[in-house]
Amino acid sequence: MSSTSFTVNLRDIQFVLFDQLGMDQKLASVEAYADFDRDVYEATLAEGKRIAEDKLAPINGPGDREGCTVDEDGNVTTPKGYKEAWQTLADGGWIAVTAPPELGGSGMPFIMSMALNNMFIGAAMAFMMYPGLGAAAARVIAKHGPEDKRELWASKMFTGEWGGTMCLTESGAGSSVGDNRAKATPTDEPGLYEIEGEKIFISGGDHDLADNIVHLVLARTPNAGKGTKGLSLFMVPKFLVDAEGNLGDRNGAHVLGIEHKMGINGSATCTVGFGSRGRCLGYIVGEENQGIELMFLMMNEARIGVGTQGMAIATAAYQYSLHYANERVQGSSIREARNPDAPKVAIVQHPDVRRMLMTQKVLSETMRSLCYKLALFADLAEHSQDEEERKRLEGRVDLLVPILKAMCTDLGYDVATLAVQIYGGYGYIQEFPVEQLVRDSKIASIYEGTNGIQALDLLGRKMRIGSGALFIDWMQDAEAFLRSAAKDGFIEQTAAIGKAVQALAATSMHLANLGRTRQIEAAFVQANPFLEMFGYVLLAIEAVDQAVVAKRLIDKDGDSPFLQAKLLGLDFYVKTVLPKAIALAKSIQSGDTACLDPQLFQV
Amino acid sequence: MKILVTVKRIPDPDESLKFAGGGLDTSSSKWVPNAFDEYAVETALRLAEVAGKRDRLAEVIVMSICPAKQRQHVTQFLAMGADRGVVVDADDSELDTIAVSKAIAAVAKSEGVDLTIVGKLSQDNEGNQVAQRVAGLLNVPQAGFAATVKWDKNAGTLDVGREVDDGVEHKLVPLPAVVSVDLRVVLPTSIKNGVTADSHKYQEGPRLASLRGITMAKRKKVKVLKLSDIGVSSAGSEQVVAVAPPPARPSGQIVGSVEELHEKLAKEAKVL
Ligand SMILES: Cc1cc2nc3c(=O)[nH]c(=O)nc-3n(C[C@H](O)[C@H](O)[C@H](O)COP(=O)(O)OP(=O)(O)OC[C@H]3O[C@@H](n4cnc5c(N)ncnc54)[C@H](O)[C@@H]3O)c2cc1C
Repeated sequence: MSSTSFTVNLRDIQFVLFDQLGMDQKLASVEAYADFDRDVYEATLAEGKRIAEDKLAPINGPGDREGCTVDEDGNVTTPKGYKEAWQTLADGGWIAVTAPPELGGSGMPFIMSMALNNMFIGAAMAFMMYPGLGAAAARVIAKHGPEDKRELWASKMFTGEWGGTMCLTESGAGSSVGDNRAKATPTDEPGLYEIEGEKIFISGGDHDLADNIVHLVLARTPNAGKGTKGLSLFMVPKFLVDAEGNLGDRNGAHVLGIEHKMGINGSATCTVGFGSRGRCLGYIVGEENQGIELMFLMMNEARIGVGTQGMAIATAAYQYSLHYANERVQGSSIREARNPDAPKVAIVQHPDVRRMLMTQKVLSETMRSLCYKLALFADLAEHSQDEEERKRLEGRVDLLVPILKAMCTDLGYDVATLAVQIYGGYGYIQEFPVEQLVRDSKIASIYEGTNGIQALDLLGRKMRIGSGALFIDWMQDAEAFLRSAAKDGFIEQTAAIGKAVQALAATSMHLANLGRTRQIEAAFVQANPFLEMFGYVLLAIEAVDQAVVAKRLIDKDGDSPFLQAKLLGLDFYVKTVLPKAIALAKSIQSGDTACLDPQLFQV
Repeated sequence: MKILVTVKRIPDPDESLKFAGGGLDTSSSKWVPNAFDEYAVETALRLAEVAGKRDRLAEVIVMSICPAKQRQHVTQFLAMGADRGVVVDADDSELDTIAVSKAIAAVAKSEGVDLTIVGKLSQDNEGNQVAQRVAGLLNVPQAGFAATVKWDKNAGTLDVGREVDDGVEHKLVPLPAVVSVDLRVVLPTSIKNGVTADSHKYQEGPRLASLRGITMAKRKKVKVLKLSDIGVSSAGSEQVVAVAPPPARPSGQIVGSVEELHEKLAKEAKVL
């Protein structure tokens, strides 16, 4: 196998889904998924792997080099092969895995769509922006769009006949969505508004993959209040349509330009003008001033999705590195340092390369475990009959989502960088696939709320809900889990992780005290380190979870290198990654505020 | 018309082999469908369907001899578009080719199929015997290694193109018949059923299953039979004595000159 071919590690995906999480059994009692069983899920994964490897991976490199173009009328052309790939996903029903079957979806659980995204995004992240955003916009429309249009429009989007975008960002309103200035003026027809304004950085703002594109636009109605509470949401089609969905006149939403970027070059990042070239009409989604609320409803899902982008890049980077390290011959074994005739070896024999591979492996696999687990919690929360259980699961997802998003996107980038290092000079060269992974993955720490904003959300909101109730609940579960894992024989490892959990609690107390004594800035200087520390503890728990499952399988069915690797992975994690959490605890509690000194950073 | 397609699961050929106790150790193998069986199913589907329409000219039944609980490959073929399945619940690794062929012939007979399509061989042991034996047992014509198939519905015949050393040989076989397929049968225009336009170009290779197809697959019927139900005994006449890895290749030698090479080839290797 060539080192440049993309491979999906189906074995590890199945391990997490079935052996570790038992998703097929946990969801078997959910009525919506009663038709599915492990066979169906496995067949889905097998087909997903083929699509990822055979249809998506081949367009990733060429798409990056070719990029997108835009003509004078604002029509965007996507790279070669994108249309065929879109058609493959549309024909097979892969765009809307979770959407209801009545609307052209397949009604599968969210966790399956994350497992598929893991493969698809790892193969072609830039391309996957188009179906990803289209389906996300369609989900909002299916639930809250105007009643007479929601089913028709959503089903056209779910089946890939139409595309979709999310238009939040403006030049003056990035992280601060509440500063949005786009205007929406009611027309004589109820629910129909005239939209004016300019949005920037809109992914897939136009493309040639679908007949029509529906923009979901945040804008302010006349007399609406300031800030996020005065925002409403509108669906704005590229072409106006009749009651049957037949395309009519061109609506006044036009791409004014596309960005030249560091990565995801196959994804058109557009400036979209609404009303700047002719009248632009949009239908309200939900009610006036409900815009942010509707966006919040899908935020957890979107953020798990972006975290999954980081994880997907990490898993791809590791697969590429693993193959390359086994093929590239350079130098001889360090044990033969004095022997000039020593045979040359593949670089996988060098301890430093093994250290890098292990770091990639352990981080990418624990991230996979975290992403799938939270997706499963979201599924269970959505369908739980037991109100208390539902609340508990929702709270858990709320607490952990900012950590998942920021941690997986930051580490995804780090793991991609390690791939370049493992490849050596070849890693820096475009002919090899890993430098693109570095460039592509960087965006995930920026959009869907920068990782700085995630840290703010964690420390400023999630940790404070119910005076820390979500955190305390998580901690109790974590400690109970560690106790049970200790009984499975992981005594030293769980003791070390238990200490890190204690350190996390102490650190959060320290930060809460800063808050109580009004040292707000001193507390928020540490928001990101705190999130990172929490992240390393969370991934440690995933490492134990995997090791416990692996050990049980070994006891039951016998040993295998795959399962042994999970045990070794836990040891590596505890001894080389987890100390970072302890170091962060020390650094956070040292209370350093030097960077806040007003003498600094003046220009 | 009824088409029976035989499908087999095999240890993933991309994985390295493990040996234990004088045989192959497949206990931790990943199981995948035999590639030639994927071509066989694709052949059947192209014969049965009218491209772009819902109409069907034939019913496609996939059958597999495998442990009833391990029939994920059957689900996969139902997801691709086969109509229903028949599983003969047995560990096929314990059956010899004769027993396998008898089981297939028995199912073909009891289902009353007009056409049996099989992959030319299975990638694990490359036997290439099943089509021939089944045709013999059923006493119907056979056409092996099909690269193209053209169905004449009125005449009730198949024109099967086979790539042979000196060109393409065409066999005209009356139905019922047994056809084994080769790799090229999944090229875009290899199959013609007389209703789908002859110029229609399929995507190369076996089709991907749609997600809708996968979720519907579970609702399709799969009949599970035991060997005894179809009157086949597992006692075979072939026996595997041992399976062992090939000996490791001795390491190469660097020679100093052409003369030395010549000398070694002549005297040591004795190939000159
Ligand atoms: C390739 C690409 C695709 C995109 N796709 C879309 C899309 O489809 N739809 C869409 O609406 N938008 C999209 N965006 C926009 C993206 O969501 C924003 O860029 C992002 O939210 C950050 O906003 P900003 O760029 O204005 O940065 P700023 O908000 O100016 O942030 C700059 C820095 O300041 C920090 N910061 C800002 N405010 C705070 C605060 N209160 N506390 C602490 N730190 C803070 C940030 O963390 C960051 O480090 C895309 C952007 C890119 C580059």
